[in-house]
Amino acid sequence: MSGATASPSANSAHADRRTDLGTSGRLLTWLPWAATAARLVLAAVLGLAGALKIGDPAASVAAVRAYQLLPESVERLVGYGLPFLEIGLAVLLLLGLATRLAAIGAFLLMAAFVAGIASAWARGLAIDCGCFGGGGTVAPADTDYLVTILRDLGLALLAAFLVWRPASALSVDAWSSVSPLRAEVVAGEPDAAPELRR
Amino acid sequence: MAHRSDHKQLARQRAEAERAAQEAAARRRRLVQVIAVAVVLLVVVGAGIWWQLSRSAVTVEDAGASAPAELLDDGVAVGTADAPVVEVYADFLCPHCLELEERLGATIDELVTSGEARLVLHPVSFIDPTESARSAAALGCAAETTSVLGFQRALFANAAGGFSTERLVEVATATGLDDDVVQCVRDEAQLEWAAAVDTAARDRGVGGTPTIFVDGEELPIEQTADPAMFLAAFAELTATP
Repeated sequence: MSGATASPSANSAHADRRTDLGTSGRLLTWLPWAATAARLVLAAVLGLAGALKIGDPAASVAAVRAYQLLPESVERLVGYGLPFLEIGLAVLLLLGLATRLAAIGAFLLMAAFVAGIASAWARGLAIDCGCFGGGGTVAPADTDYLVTILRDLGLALLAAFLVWRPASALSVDAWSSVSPLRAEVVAGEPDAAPELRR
Repeated sequence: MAHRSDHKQLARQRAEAERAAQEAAARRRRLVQVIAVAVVLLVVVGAGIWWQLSRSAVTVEDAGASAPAELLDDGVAVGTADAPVVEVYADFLCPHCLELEERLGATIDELVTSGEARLVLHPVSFIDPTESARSAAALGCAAETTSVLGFQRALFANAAGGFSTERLVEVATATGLDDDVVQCVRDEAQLEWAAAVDTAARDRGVGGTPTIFVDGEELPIEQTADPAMFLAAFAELTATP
């Protein structure tokens, strides 16, 4: 409407903007849902991993110790604290609250897991990763380092995606603040209102 | 015309400034929100660690029955030498072993103190080569006392806090063990013995904990479900033909 009263060049610029908005609008309709899916997958895995470990702190410490990477007092803190961290991140991701922060946390965790497992593998240890409880030494034939590393890399990828695009559907983040979608629309027509007012 | 474009420019500047201010405010709000969430997360993890540490405070409620014991090459024997033998392979860190101790501990203690059974404890190190072995070695230290039954119960009761050497010393002290026994625990003097106990168990084919043998026969775990079932199985296996 307002474009029609302005010069032809302004009109075409406005049309271009519409096209841009259309493309990013289409992207924006599926990206938040992909982010939601990533959030829920990470939340499920982290929540399960934490819940299966939290009831048996001694085994959790033993699982950390099996990696032979940390001093004894730190092993205990990690063994005790990790299940709470995992569940905490899972809750944040499930709610979509501070998604980027939670995704950074999840990414760093997965990176640490991959590094730990790779180092155990490289040192010729035969251990269970203890990812979902259990852990400790196993028969060399029963190790599944490659599968575990690939799984954690996949999860790290999901987390990285969320760090890049934390805006997701069905999230506290979207509900509690100006959503990126709305921000984009507002930013797309900055001078529409002044023109109308004049 | 120039007048109009001035107006337009002013309005646009005003709108942009307003939008910038709004965006800055939104960014600030989001930052505060994220920091608050991060702090809550840290507090939760910290509280979790503190809780796991504090519920692991050493407590010894029940001194347990007292019975003479002796150190064997592959375990600790308690009670009369000529009674039928009940053998228990357990790791003090294994949750199912704790459950077994809670289910049958009192029953087995009674069999031992009444002279109906001789108990042989094989403290293995299946869960954690470091902490399980340490706790097994601590039991080995107490093997020549009359407090083995009470000490092993105290070890199970305090397993949730893990077995650092200091904690084992606390458990031993709280159980009322003699100074030389406590010193042995502190020195981890029976670690080699604990390793031998573990090796002997694996050599015998014991692959999991808890495992119970009565008179040399492995007892299916279902028969340890409650004291009555255990006593029936015990009676059957030790009946003299």
